[in-house]
Amino acid sequence: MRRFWKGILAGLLFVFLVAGVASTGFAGQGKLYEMAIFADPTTINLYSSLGPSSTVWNTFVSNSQYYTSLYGNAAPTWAFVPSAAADMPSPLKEEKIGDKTYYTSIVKMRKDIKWSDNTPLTADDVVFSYNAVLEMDPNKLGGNWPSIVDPTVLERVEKVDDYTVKFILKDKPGLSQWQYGVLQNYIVNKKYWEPIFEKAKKAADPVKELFAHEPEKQPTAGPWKFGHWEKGAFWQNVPNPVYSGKGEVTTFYENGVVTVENPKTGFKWQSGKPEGKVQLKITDGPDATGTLYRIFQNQSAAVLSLTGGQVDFVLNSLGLQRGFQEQLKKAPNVALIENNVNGFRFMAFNLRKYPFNIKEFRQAVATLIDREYICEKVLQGIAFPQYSVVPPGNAYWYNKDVPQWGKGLTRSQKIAEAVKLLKKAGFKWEVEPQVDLEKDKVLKRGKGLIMPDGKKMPEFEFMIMTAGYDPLRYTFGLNIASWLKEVGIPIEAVPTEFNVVSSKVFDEQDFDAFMMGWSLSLYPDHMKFFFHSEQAEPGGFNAVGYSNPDFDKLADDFVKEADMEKARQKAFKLQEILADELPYVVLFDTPIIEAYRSDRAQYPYTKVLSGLQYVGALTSTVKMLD
Amino acid sequence: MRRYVLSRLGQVILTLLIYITLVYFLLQAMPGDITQMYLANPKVPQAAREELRKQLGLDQGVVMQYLTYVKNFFRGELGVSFSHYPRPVWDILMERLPRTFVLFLTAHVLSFYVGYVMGRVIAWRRGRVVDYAATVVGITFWTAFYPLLALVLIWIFAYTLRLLPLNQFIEPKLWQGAPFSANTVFGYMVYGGGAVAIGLFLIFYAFLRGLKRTRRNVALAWLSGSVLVAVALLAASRAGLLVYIWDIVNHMVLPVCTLTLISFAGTMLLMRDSMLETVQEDYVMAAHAKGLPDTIVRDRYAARTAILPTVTSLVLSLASSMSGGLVTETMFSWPGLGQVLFHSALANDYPLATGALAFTGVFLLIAHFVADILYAVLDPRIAYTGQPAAEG
Repeated sequence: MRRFWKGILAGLLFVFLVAGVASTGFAGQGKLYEMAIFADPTTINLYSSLGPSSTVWNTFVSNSQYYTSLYGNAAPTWAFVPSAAADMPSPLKEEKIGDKTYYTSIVKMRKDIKWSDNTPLTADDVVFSYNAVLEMDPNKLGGNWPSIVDPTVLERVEKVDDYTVKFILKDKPGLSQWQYGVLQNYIVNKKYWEPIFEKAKKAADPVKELFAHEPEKQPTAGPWKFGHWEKGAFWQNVPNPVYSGKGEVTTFYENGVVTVENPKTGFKWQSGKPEGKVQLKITDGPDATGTLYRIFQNQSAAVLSLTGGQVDFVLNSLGLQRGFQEQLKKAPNVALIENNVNGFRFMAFNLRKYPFNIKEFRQAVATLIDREYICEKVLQGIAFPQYSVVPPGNAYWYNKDVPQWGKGLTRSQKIAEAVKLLKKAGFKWEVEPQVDLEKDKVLKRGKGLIMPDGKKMPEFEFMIMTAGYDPLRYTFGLNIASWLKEVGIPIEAVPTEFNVVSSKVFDEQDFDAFMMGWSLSLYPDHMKFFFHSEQAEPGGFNAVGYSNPDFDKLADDFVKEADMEKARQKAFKLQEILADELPYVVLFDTPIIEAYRSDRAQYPYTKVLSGLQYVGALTSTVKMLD
Repeated sequence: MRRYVLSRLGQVILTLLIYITLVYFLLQAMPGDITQMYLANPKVPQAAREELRKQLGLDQGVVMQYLTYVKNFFRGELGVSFSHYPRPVWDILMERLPRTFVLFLTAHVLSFYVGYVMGRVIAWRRGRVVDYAATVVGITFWTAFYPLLALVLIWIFAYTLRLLPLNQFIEPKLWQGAPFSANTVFGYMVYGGGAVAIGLFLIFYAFLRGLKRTRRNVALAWLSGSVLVAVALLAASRAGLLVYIWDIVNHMVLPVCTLTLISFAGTMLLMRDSMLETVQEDYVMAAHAKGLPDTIVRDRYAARTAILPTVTSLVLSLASSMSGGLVTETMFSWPGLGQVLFHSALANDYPLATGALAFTGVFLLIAHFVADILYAVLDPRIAYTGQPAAEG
């Protein structure tokens, strides 16, 4: 026995001694920017990465780091600015080509952008980047490709000269399809990718062949190029030695104007006449000598690594769990960031079913829900109430004047208001709910709700997320059910797995009511996708079956609108209709919380919609402190 | 014996077929399919979803998909992963297998060794302080909430004392630009470690069992063993592997210790019970009566017989080393087969989930098969015919 313990003790001592010595060997970080991520990227290949294997981790480590596009949105204001283009695209004009009429637009390109192999980025690269995808069929490439290189809009791209391209479009596109769609496609290096496409085209399954290629040595035009990927452990990017954006200054003025100036190459561009104070000036780098993404499988380890100084930023599209906030507040040299997100969580009814198709019924439900109470009292401020399908964080598109059902009312006032709305629609009760408005008390709970057709309303199923999947939605769901029961609405909250909800709602359309959430893109064209009647078929996004010809027409006009201000007015009107008709009862969302090492990293800004993760952790503009 | 082996083999193949069928249809019974991920992006047209269904063969009937799968499975093809399209399932499993195997095999062997030694000792000293203390400690760890224990150990040894790495299975800064991939090094560890282990076993067996157990032979056994280990380390060092092997070993310490703490009590109690039965046997009493030293009676007479059920448990746990463990892999950021299985099931990646389950199932069935054969060889009371033999 003694020998056994001696052996164990000696073994442990040996291990700890050598491990201690070994672990001290990697203390210094230099100017390496280290981040914690929570899953392996799935591929290095851009086509696969934006295809079915698309994950947010791919975007973090490769897509947004390696490639440029003709245009982009400059954070934090998200102004539409040229990237590889020299100026805005020429206005769309009708043009007869052959026997068909198309819309065309000319884009002039910058001449100072180089690939990491020191060759210039030219019109040939741009033309190839679009036409190769079209030839392969964006629907077959899958994932994001049909929305980026939209085959219903784009016919082809032609080279005019080495630095000018011409877009030939099938139909007049709106902002979402043009500025926020086609023009933001990534540009790849033609010399590298053309032979790979040619080989893929000859294969039995071209898409499979294309996706299988691993372009470790491809030239990039972004600030970084691929360094090393040890699956399950880390991904490393190294600087693009000839990155043309290095030293480029982007300035944001008080009047919304953005200017771009590259002192090294002499490139200059401005969106208008700058007026007022300079609000933000960002100088592009990269300052870091490399980026290292450490792959962790749990947030606890990532947070310990952050507080221990092993990583500089925790990069996660969901941010950090609230529980870590207190721990990190006390940690020295760790700063916390809190930002609004571009999304919402909601409840919805199957509008194909009676009485859910009665507007007043939905308005009564929306009135009964006390979002403020749950967010502030039950969830202790970790969520914020929301009323519109465009979140307030997306300030330009958000209509703050939409009706906010039940906001500011007491419990009894909410019940009284809901009863009024239900009565207006013809609902009756076996026992009508009664409240004391002065004392804010429920005197009698409602019982036996009779529908306008004279039948007693049967119990219906309200699918909420399980507590394990989303405790916030679970809590909200239980409270909603309890408030609705108070007025006699026979609801049964059923915690259901996400996949079941998703399948029942979108594929089978066999449900009564459910709760879900959306993350959104900046341009609010989701309003068309979620509520246009053409999306009401099984598999479509209007799973609730909302149908309103006036809304459909306005939504169609909105997505085709090419003028920003007019589009905004239409977006406001759409929000008004939706807030009144309530195909979705928008409930809440949570802010995103992030943390970084303030003694190591200095960001040009930290206030930005959806947090620093949305801008790829600012790898090329972060200043690394020694 | 031959009939017995063939009959067991037939049972194994039948069980495997039933198992794969069950796994396949259970996974298919999950709601939705992988194309549901497109529901996150309203700009993806329905046509793209249909194309993906076609690409992945989901447009065929479930029975047709199953028959194709079984046909391919017995040809050694596990298909293409949906969530890592177009990576073959086999490729993903082989990427995860070495690191899963090295970690869990080490942990199981260590846990078995600690459990075996402790069980032997506490059975011999039953009713004394060491018996109670070891049982209480073992049971405490056995019933501890594993993620919490892992976190506590990480916090003490990695975060506060900084003696061990915090997480992950390698140190990225060491491996940037490394001439080897981690899997290559894991491969060397499995093959090299296996070769050294076999070499050590043969050396010690030859010197201590084959030859007379004298002081000189014991010293020679240790010397030869040390030379073998030194040569192996030197070879690894010359190949530039040693620093990387050490890095992996360094990262293994915490997960292995945690797994050992959690599970050694199982083997310990099994061994204790088995020993308590064995020490009542006549031949053990006879050994005592002959005046043999206590440790000799305990180790060579009682423990050798008592080890049989413990070995069975070891063989089965070794096979389960292949399947990894989700909690360990998550808590220590050691992505192995457990995570593959979990994430593929969540993502409706049927080929990968079925492949991972089938893969571990095959190993478990082989382990059962080996255990049955070993039992039949080691214990003559187990009849080859399947009928119990008469005791006597």
